[in-house]
Amino acid sequence: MAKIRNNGKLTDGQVGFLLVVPGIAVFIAVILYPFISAILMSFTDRTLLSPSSNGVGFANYRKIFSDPYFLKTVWTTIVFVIFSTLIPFTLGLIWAIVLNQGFRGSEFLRGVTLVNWIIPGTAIGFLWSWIFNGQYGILNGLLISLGIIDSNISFLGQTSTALPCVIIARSWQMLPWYMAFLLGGLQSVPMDRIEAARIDGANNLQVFRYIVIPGMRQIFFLVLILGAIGNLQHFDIPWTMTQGGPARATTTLSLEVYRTAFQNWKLGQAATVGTIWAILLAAFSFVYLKQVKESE
Amino acid sequence: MFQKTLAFRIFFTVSAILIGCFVFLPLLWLINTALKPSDQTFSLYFFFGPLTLDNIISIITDRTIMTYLKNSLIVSFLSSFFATLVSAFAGYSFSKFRYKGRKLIMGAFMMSQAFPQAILLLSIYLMMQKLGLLGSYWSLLISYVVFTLPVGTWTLKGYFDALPDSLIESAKIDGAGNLKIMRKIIFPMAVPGMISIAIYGFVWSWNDLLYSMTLVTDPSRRTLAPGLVMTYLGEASTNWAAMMSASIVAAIPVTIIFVFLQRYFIAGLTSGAVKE
Amino acid sequence: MKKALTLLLVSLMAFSLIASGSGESSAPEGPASIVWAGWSGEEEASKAIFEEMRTGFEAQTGNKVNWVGWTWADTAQQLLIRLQGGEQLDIAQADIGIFNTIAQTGTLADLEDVFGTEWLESTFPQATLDVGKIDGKQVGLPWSMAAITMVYNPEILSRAGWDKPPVTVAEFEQCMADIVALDEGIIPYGVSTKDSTAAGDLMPWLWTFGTSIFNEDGTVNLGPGAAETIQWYKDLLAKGYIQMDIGRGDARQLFAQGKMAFYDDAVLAKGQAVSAGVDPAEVVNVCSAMPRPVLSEGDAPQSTMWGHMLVIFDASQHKDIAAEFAKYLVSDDIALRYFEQNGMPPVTNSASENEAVVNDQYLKGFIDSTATAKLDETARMVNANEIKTVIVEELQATLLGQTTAEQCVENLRSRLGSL
Repeated sequence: MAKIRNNGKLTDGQVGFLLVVPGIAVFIAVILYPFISAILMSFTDRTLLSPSSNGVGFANYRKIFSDPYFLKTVWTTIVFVIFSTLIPFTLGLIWAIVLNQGFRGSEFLRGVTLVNWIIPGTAIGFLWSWIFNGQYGILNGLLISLGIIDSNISFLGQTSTALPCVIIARSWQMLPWYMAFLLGGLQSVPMDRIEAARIDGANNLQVFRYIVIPGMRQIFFLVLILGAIGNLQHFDIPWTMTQGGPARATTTLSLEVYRTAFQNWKLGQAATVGTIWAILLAAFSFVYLKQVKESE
Repeated sequence: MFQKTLAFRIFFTVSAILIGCFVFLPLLWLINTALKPSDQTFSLYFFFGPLTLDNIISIITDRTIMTYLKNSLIVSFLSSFFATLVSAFAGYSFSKFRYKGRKLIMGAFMMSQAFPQAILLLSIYLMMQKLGLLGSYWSLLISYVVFTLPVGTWTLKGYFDALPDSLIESAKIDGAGNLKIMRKIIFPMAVPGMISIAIYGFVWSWNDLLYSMTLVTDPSRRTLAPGLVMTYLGEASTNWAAMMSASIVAAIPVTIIFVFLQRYFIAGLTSGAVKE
Repeated sequence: MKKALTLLLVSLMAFSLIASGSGESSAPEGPASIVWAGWSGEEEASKAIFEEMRTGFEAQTGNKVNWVGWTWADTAQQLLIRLQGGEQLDIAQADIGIFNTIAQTGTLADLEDVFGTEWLESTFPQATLDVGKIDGKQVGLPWSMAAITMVYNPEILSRAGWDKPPVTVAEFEQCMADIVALDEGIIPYGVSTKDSTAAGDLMPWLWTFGTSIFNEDGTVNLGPGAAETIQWYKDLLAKGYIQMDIGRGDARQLFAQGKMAFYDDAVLAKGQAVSAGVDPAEVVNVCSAMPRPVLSEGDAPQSTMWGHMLVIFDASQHKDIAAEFAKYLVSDDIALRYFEQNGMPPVTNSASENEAVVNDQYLKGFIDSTATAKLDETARMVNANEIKTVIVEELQATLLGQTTAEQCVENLRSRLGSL
């Protein structure tokens, strides 16, 4: 700060650079240095059992690309990220519209909705695995007492239902977060333009389509990107609910990395999965950056 | 915003009921479990049955859990504060200044949010060990910035981009220095964005299990997520009721803080300074 | 709004002062303070007794014991990370499952040097000592040991018309049919079908059907009995005798609620029953150990070794104090107290012959099975977790109808062979 104060002697470029110095320092310490050492690690047989390791060239990469399950894991990750971003986004938007109506108690509901998001992820995982449990689950109990089903369904024990269950739990956790952002967005939509449109005879759908959505484009983009990144990194809920099973149905890249590194002790191989993941994402980021540039 | 036509009323009621059930029923079940005597945890009654405050009281009077809660609050607040501040400086710099290497640094920040955090952990652990920071709040504070910095910088850059350069130019003509411009003009306008980033960072830190468990082993500095897991998930038994009660108790102070903060961040957005 | 923001900033600054203030006041480390790591000191059920062990030793010797704990599931991983970081670590609790992994780091002290062969051999039975040996080197000190065998609920069995647990597999199936016929919604057998416990439960059944996963030399075995075992699992599932999505935790819960008749567990089974409200003295009425059913009468029933060990680290500056502490932990007084409080069976010659231990009805079934118990097949393998993950994935795929029992064995053979 003190240096910036002497700005008389500094050019704008120098000031700009100084501003980013704290960021760079933290970035190098906790991201860049660990990141580079992880990439280097991906070319070794480093394990958690010993600090020494040997270079193995591309052996880890070959191993992963010849693993018949790797593509499936990538696919599961994509499905998980897309649905657990879009479902709470859509529900969060509707919920924000409902709460934005300003009826009695809406402020209170808004606050209470946030509770879901603050409960530690592990506890949420346990809550939902209890709801979906195939033996003493709450959902099964409810469905049976309503006469909808005769015998318990093993929601988490079947490949077809396990991933949707995990996505529902994750959506429940994140809905409040989308709601909070989108509510802010809704309130920033200029009212005068809506009123003008009303005078021209626009109905609700037209107002939503031609004024609300364009007005919120920036915030939509922001929450979708942040949400997708969060889901990509997400670990707690699928880990507590299914440990990636049954038969790998809920194994995402994040779980795979954790399992390879901290259960199979193969740091080199885990770093390889991480590096491939980073490359895939770099492609995605590139598209994103291009988009940002074009909109500028 | 919307006219209360019949169609809208139907949409409103149906959504309110369905989403309300989805959001609140599991939450009520959580509270319900917290209020049941522990030998009734698995009976399927919903509030209508024996209820007790024993679980809640035993959490509130449990000094260990309260220490975890305090630690979590301190670490999450500070890390989200630091991360937001650092991100704001960096975001402003990327947005309004031009210098050599800017694009490269920007690209690097962007890329980094994508790398699996579990892998970064080992190097961070060894580094903290060398710096002698293991077991301190600092180790968590610094490494939690990892969760927020990239996203925060990019989001705030977006906010600053939306501010017209003319605003800065005219302030400069009035003789304001860079620091003054930042403090008086730029940052106040980015408050909503900063609060959303702070909240984002807060919840990442609040929820973190792996980093906290690895970097801090001393129970007096342990945060809530590992604390709950370690206390209630044992080799031999799982105490669900206590875990649910503890989650509820822990959620209360943060909910209050968020309800308070949310007003600012919505008010900030509505002020329109950012949008136009 | 600016005011509120300033207020927020100020309060955050205040917080940061508190944080940095308390950050510096870490406990002073005297020359004679050792670090003890593990998991049981974190768990509600054993927290008190671990605290007692620590403070008891501190009072007796004047040395300090610092406890560092994690969850049971994370202990191996956290120990490994800590070992790589070189933080102080003198003595740790390790169960049979993670013991070998820790030993593979080459950081464990040879206990024959630390304690002397004579003390070890005079204190523990030879068979027990052998469990703590790796490649002929004594690196684990036995602390608590028994078998993982089958556990049954005598009340449910008697309602189904069985006053004794079934002895053969055929009887076992009949018994499960009778339990289903009760129509009380009881799951007959809670064999694990998820997480790594599913692999652990499968092994003794493979042994029962006359095969194993690996040969002595570490090559994949999976003889004809393997497909038979997996087909048997499939049949049990089809008949509703076992279910998907059951792990050890689920089985314990259902069993404690009286909704399950059989499952596989160690002595620790008691913990969940007690926390579900069963009087510790009455546990044996609803939770008894039994020998695993055999194919034909007269075969030896199969079970897996279970236990906790103590390990001392070679890099420790205070191996003598760590050893003294270990001796204190296995001493009769403390070991019997641990048994009394938590049901952990003592292993020394003297403590295990104590009347309270010998006469304990609950423990008896587990101790009886120990005579023929074998080590988990992966217990001596570095990549035990990876092997188990593969086994569970393929087993689940078969049980869910994606592959046949024969395909399952083939997939296992090729995947395990290429590890």
